[in-house]
Amino acid sequence: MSSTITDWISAISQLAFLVIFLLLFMGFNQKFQIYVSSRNIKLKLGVLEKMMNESQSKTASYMRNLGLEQPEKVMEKGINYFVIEPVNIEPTDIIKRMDVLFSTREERLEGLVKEALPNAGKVERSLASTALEISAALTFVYKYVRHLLITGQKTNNWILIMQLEMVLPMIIKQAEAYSKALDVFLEGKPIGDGAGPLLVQRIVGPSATPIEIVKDTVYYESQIDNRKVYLIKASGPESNVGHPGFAVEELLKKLGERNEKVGMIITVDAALKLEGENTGEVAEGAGAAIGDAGPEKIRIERAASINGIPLHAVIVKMGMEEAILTMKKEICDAVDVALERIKELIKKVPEGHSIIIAGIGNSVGIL
Amino acid sequence: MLALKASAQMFGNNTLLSPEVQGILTLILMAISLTFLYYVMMQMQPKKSQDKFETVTVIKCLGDGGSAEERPFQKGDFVGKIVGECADKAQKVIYAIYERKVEVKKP
Repeated sequence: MSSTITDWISAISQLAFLVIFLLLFMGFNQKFQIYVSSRNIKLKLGVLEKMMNESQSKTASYMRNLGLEQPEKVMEKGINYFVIEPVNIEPTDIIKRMDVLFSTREERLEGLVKEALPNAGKVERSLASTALEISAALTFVYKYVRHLLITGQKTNNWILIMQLEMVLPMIIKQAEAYSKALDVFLEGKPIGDGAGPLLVQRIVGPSATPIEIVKDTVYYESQIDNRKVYLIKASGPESNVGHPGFAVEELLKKLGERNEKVGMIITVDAALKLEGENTGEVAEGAGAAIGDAGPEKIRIERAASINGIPLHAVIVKMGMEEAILTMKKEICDAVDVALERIKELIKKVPEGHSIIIAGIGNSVGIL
Repeated sequence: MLALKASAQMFGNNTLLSPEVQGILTLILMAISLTFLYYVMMQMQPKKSQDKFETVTVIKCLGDGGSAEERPFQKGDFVGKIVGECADKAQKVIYAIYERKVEVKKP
């Protein structure tokens, strides 16, 4: 009796192995992998969709509170707004072309928010504009992941699906940071990226008079160790990164007209730390510490090279999430350390020469 | 050693355990192993941080004393905002706004 049963078990298991073996030759394993991976991606896509919907409803609610009855129309335009990359196969004048594209985008989006919220203050409008940008980013991430998933499923491309599944945790992490950042911006709190503007504010204090030099960018005059210092930052406390590159260029022109000698340019910015490094570490280097697409950075570099001025960079290290979320105490404390580094650098400049310090970053929550 | 001897006797002697029972026992062992593997994998997943954070506003007097006080962040606060006057007529300003970990006091 028992031997009959064991014979049956053995026969069934052999048949099962044969069937599995044949299915493997027919590519069943890949289809099964696509099925399992697609299911995982769909679950995570649900998380991205939730973040997208939440960001859109928070932005709409913020605009409604500022008096806009139907924010959906503005949001639809703002969220789907796009910029076409300039031709880079022929790089001549690419910076000028980028300038045109970026200023067109900036003016259009700002105009959109200004038209929709005519009675709102500058700070509120800037926060609404940033909220719109965050919603647009989260919407794009969701749509793009969905696009890759559907393409992979349609074409049975298991490599595409597997790759998507592997990078999704990183995408989700970044999307979560954006989602959290929305609340931070809507409350007007300073963010980690504001380390540069905070340093400028620490030097000049609250009573200093800002002078607008280019759009959304101001400069202050101060004295450190008997040397005249010009400090540039984005105007605050609105959410704004300004145009520090244009500002440095313009300021150097002005000082040149007055025959004022500039002995040093120092850029201070938040910089991404490597995993394992501590948040709030301060480092010094050469070059323009600014993370724009190019037009601002190249202006600082060109202005320094044309005038033969040493270009120093002081960075405050932080993670990507920390840069867009509420400023951490470690970063706030690091600003004082960065200030000491700057004072050391300034001592190298001969008296009678001026110094330009550009505090790069978003000025939200910092005057 | 005694347990080993006992198990050897049990599984070595066909009269003690029939092949069906042996098969069921193998299945149970496999189920236990898989459950244990799943548990270990769950344990290996990064745990979400339970740390709580708060945003504080640091207000400082710009006079010689430079005394500082802290309060929870309020909407409308920004660094450099003048919020009043100190006893020595110096300006009272928001010096810093930052996030810090809330220290939970253990009872």
